[in-house]
Parts: sequence; structure tokens; C-alpha cells
Amino acid sequence: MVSDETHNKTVKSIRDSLELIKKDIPQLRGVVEAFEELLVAKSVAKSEISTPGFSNIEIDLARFSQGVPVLDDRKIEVDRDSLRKVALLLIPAIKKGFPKIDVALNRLESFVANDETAMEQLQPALESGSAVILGDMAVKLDIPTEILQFVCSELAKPFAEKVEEAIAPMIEGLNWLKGYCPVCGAWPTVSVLKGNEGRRFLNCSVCGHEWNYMRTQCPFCENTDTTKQEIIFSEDRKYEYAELCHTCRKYIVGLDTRNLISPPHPSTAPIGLIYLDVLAQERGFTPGATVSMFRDLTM
Amino acid sequence: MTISRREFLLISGAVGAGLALSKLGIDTGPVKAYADELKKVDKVKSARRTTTICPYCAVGCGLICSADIKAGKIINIEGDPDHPINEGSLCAKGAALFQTTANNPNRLQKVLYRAPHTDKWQEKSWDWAITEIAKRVKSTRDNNFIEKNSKGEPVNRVEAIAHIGSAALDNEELWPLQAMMRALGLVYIEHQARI
Repeated sequence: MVSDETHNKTVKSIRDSLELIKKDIPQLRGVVEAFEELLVAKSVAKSEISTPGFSNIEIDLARFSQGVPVLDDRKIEVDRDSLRKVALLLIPAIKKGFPKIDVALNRLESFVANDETAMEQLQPALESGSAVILGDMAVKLDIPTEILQFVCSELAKPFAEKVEEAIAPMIEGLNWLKGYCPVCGAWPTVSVLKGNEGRRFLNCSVCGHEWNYMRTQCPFCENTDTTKQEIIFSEDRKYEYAELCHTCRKYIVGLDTRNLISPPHPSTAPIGLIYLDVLAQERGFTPGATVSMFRDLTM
Repeated sequence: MTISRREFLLISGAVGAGLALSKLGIDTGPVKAYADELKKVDKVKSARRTTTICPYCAVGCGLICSADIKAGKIINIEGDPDHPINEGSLCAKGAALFQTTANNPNRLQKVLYRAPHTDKWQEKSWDWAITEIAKRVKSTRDNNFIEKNSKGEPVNRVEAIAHIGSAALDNEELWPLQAMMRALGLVYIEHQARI
């Protein structure tokens, strides 16, 4: 559990960062407003749940140094009551940001709130992560599969972030040279330059862990040939950019926080950089993070 | 309920299987319009980064040099945070390297000559300048060549000319420079590293 003061600071930082995006680029207002309540609700959810239990917490240094993430084959124990609590916090927030899908969300919310066996019924879908099982569940609840997928993926994140909080101190100072997350193994969504020296940190798309990575290396294919890399940016906002890799045709958006008075909250950074997603995708590149919400923007 | 890491990722990543914002009822039109506008007014720039080594002193600090692909111009030079020697830091001279590029409006593009006893600068060609330098070096050397010192010992030297090498010179440039200056008989050969 986090203190009220820390939690309030986080919420304020999220809201302030989003407000700044809306002020700077009014065209992003719609996307910002869609995610605002969800980001705040996830932060509230994270502060209200306890860390899920996970087995074998000792770090295997040999495996870790070979690029095996800490959570590779560990079991994470999420209790149903916590999951229900998170669902009842997140679904109303999603409804506020995504009013056009509120019929399906109302149905899902009512199911979670009123059916004692709801979490038990959702369990196979959550445990397996299988699209088929999720699809069957969506049919049973009479809601589109995509919406159930979206809600389930968001439900998992506060737990992932809690696990990250517990694991991050254990791996602090250990060398990690991979482009995927040392905690959960997911790909990063945003690259951030920090400090006077401009060290590059990648931000995990699932658990939010941040790790140092080489400036001139593609996180997705580890290509270091700079002639096959490109950066695109707007002349007016040089501190925001997309790094394109011509080897694997993937990209990652980035933010240079070195000269910013108040760097944005990490969870809001990808939202403010969405116009770069459009520019990169128009050129045929795909986001490296498989969980990116901002794919198929040119459709 | 127990979930393994792999499954956990599948759940978190379920949305990645092609779900677009538009399927969740979000209008991305204004975002696309903003991106289009940036392109129309030619605000979208494309750059390539190259890692290189600072040309100044022997420390050999790593640099990241970014160049505008379309304009073919350097747009930024900064310390390389992943370089084991400097880890992103640069001395004042290295940090000012960008000023030595074509972007510096004060950088001289042509030879300027100021004749003795005047305060006026004249524009000259490179051919003129190189020929003039060679002529004056030869004349100064010939007029001031010392074959023997006061004790009558052969020294074959020139004390009227001094040479100072730039810290931006590399080994390959330094060798012929040193050989040439020694061949002329110069003894005042100096180097500056941090001016």
C-alpha cells in the first residue's frame, strides 16, 4: 500500500501531464480524455491492492545475465477479491473515457458487481490469456471480444506494476542488455532520455519497469548499424521523436526530458507522442510493443 | 488464482492482437490531421545518428552526432552516454564541437588577409594564401638558417619560425607535419590541447 500523499502526488502528476498535452496540442484532446480517467483509476487501483504473491523470489543471476526475465516461469497469485475490486474501479473509468462502448461495459460491470461467480467464470480466460477462451466468454456475456480483451489487459496492469515494485529493488545494479523488460519480458512502449548525460531508459508496456538501454541500438532486433536507423521529429518539438529501425521495420517513440521543466508522468508519455505513431505507421513501421494501443492508426 | 508470467503477458498483451483505438469508439481523425499538417508545412524532419570520437585530445571521448538526412547537415553533437570513456560527459571544448560545424554562422568560409600596418582585411583565394605562406616560410628560413652555434658545433636550425599544432589534429596529420617542420630546421614545435 502507498501513502495518501504519494498517491495524491501521482494522480496530480498524471492529470498535470495530460493537461499540458491538451494545452500544447489541442488535436490530441480526444485521445487524452479517453485515457485520463483510466490512468487515474489504475493508479488508485495500484494503491489499494497488495502485492500479488509470487514464487521463487531468488534471482538466478546466471539466467538473468543470459537475458531471462525475472518472472519468466514464476507463478503470480492474484486473489479474486482484489481482481474484482480492480475491475469495479477500472470499468467505470473506462466508461467515462470510451462512452461509445458503454453498453458493453455496463453489461460487464453489472456481471462483475452482481454475479458472485463472475471472477470464477472469468478466471479461465484470465489464467490462460487465450483469445479463444476470451472469445467464448465474450459471447456468453454478449459483448464484443475486443472490448473484453481491452478490459482484461487493463485489469492485469495494476497487478503487474505491483509485482514490478517488489522485484525492481532486487535487480537494481544488475546488468541487463536486452530490449525487453528484465522483470516481465514485455517490450517497451517509450524511450526516455534522462540526466545531464542523456542516458536512455526504456519503459515497459506491461509492468512499467524502466531500464537503461544503449542509445544507438534497436531494442527490438538489437541492430546497432546506425545507417539502418532513423529518427523522425517535428521541428517545433525536437524533444519528442520516433526511432525507426529499417532492419526490423519497428519503431519506438521517445522523449528527451533533459530540458523539460517538469517531465511528464511515464504512463502519459505515449499519449502525448501519438502523432509520431501516426507518422511512423504511415511510413510502414509498426510499434515494437505488442501491447501498444496505438497501432493501426492509419486505418 | 495462480497465473504464470507467460499467461500474464498474454492477458496484458491480448489487446495487442490488432485492436485499434477506433474499435473502442475513439476518433483519431484530429491526431491524423495534426500529423498531416506537420507534413504539409514541412515540419517533419528526419535524422540519422552516428557514433564517433571527439577529435581533440587523447582521451578519446565518444560522441553521438545527428545529421538531418534531407539537408545533409549536422543538427546536434552530444556526448555518448554508452561510451565507456566519458559516459556522456564532455569537456567545455568537446561540448562546443557543434560550433565548428557548417551551422556556425561566424565560421570563416574564405581566406582573409591583413597586410602589415593595416587594419583592413582582404578576401584572398586559397592558391594565393598557400603560395604566399610557402614563399614567406622559405624566405624566413633562408634568411635565418643557423648552421653552427656559438661553439662552432653544427646545429642546422631555424629559430625565427615556430609551429603550433592544433588539438584537432590526428596521428596521420601529425606525422607529416612533424617531419616537414623538422626538415625545415624548426626547433620551436609546440602543441596545444585545451585552448
